Amino acid sequence: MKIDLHVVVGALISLAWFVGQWFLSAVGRAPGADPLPMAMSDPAWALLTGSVGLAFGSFGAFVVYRTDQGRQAASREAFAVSASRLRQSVRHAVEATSPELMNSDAPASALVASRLPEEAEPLAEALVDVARTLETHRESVVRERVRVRQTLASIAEGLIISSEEGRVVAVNPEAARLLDLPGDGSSLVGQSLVTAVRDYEVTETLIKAIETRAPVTRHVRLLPFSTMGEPSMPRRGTSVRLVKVSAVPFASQGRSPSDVGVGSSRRTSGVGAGVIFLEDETELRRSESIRRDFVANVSHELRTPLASLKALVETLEEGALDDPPAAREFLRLMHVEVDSLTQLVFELLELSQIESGQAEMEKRPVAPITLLETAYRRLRTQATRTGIDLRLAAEHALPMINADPMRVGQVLLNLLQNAIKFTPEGGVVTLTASRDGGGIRFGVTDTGIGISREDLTRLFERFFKVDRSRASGGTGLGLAIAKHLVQAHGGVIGAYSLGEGHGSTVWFVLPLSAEGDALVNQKASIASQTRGALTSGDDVDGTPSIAVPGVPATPAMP
Amino acid sequence: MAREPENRKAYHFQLAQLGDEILTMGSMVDKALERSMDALARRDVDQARQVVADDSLINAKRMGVEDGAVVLLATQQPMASDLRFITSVEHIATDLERMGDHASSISRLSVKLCAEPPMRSVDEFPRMIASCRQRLRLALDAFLERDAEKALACARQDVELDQLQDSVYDLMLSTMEKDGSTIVRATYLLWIAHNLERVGDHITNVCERVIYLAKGRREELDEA
Repeated sequence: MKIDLHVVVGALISLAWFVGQWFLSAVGRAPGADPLPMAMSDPAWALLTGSVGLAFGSFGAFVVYRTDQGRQAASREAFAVSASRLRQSVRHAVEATSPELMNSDAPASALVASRLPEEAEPLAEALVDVARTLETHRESVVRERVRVRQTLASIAEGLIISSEEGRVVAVNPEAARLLDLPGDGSSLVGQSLVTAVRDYEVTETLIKAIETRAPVTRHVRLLPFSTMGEPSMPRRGTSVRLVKVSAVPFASQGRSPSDVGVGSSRRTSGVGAGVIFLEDETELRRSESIRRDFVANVSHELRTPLASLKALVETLEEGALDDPPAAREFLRLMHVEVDSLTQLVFELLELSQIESGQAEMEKRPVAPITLLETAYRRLRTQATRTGIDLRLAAEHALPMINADPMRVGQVLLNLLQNAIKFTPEGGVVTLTASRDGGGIRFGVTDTGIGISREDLTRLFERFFKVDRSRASGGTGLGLAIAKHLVQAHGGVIGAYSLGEGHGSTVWFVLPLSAEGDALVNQKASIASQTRGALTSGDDVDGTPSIAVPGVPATPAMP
Repeated sequence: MAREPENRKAYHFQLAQLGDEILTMGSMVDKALERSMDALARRDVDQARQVVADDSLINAKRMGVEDGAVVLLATQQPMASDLRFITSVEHIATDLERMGDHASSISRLSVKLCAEPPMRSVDEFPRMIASCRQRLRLALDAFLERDAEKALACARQDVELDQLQDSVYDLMLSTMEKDGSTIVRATYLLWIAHNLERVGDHITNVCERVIYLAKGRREELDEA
């Protein structure tokens, strides 16, 4: 309650009256003074006057208080009225603006403001200001979010961010790919990390990092197993990925809900805030193991002839030198071993040159038959000597191919040597060439020992030998070199076999040269012209005579 | 939406965590199965021993899940579907743990097989392990989504594993008949096939639990 001036003044007056009366009465009772001409006793008088004063004061105060309350109520009412009027006018303004909004470029806030009554203008301005500020904040938040998403998507590593509650906050497409998550993984945001990732080693890495409050790195074999496939037809083998998983915990902000995990004594799940990085190491590991195998193979291949040489030298030292016929035989054997060593080193160098693309290919248009005949002539004698019938079967008038005749000749020689080596006496080795789409298909078919299905898949690997006893010699590099040479020509190579004991065929296709292509096109167009002429019923002129043997009736388009 | 009271929030969080624990166990079992067969195929004794050693982690996880379930039962008095969920989780954890034991058994047999000369590969094994892993994943998906249809479909696929086991059985018998020296190895391989088939049965059990969880009634799926 407000203490008004009236109350104070009234109280003061009454107090002064009361004190005055008490003083007078005290004086009046003193000896020698005239008694006051008053009928009432002094204390009663004083009490009366005091009461009257107090009543005056209180009344004043009451009046003031009432007036004040009335004024407040009135102003409240006025405010309410004006607020409702304001609300109404704002609504009218908005309603009136709605159709206009559709055809106007002006911002909504400005349109609304223009319709508001004058007295509401300051308020409207304030509201528009607030709205503008909010809009700016919202835009910057959205912009920031887009930028973060783009950044995450552009990171080459897989990345998952987990919240305090162990929920996925963000996941980038690479992580989705590695973990075999649906789509780009964005649908998993908000899910629990364990549910989303489904690989305990990945989540455990984060748990460990959070426990130790330090980054943790692990190498994990991921076994993606998409359930998208037909469940009754399980895929044979899964694409196992070797992934480096690194987890970094975020600085904890207070107690996380996972601290109150299930179980009284142990925390069963400690997934909290942090980030998981996934780095695909599958290719890296694969190339590492290929390199390891390569070194092991090379040293094995080198060791075998070296061991033979050493044994031969020792035998000579131990006295065989004094036996000239034996010594001569040993020297001949040593010669063979040195040759095979030289051959191995030569082939290794060649392979590495072709693989790295350093080997020069002197490509020019060549007639396939020339290549076949060269290879045939070079190996005919060797074949005859081992009792093998070497045959040549090529289509007539094959178009030219674009190739380095030396290199392709080398491939053919290698295939022929292999075929002769693995075909028993009395067998047949056939060298073929035919049209195949936009190229020429060369083939070497034998009636030899054949190749098992498992071996077929590894045939073109370095150091792979069908004959594991290595009795037949060779470096195991020939077909690997052949593959790289064919690939350097833009061709493909392959092999098939009906199984062990049923012979095999190694083939390769090389693309036609530009001239070869043109020739084929020319023939094709002539052929179609001819057909067109015939079907249209026109008189046949001189052109149909061009129907060359060997050119198919329906020319294969290149 | 009204805000959940703090204690309910913690309760639901703990329920969700129980579910997560099942998925974690599922992933552990999945990897144990894959590793055991990978070790067998590559004759990798070290990896096989690792699978046997890691089985204790799966067992410990199961204990953790059980503790969690008991604490929730005792402190929250869950009703209806929550109660079904908690009891199902306990059963599924037990089945998962048994699957882990089978992976461990396979690895023990692998270690023994590695001491014997190599034998030709059994084509059925990759298909059996693929079927097990695919079905395990499917069963856990069904659990996650409380999807009785999916669980039923998954349970029905058990036939395939049974057939594959039969064909391994025939193959091994004929191998033993042809060459007496293979008896020991062929017997080990038979046991491996049997372990894989048992894994399939446990997956079927999980499916039954999921159907109970989703529908509130039990269905015996073994004879299906």
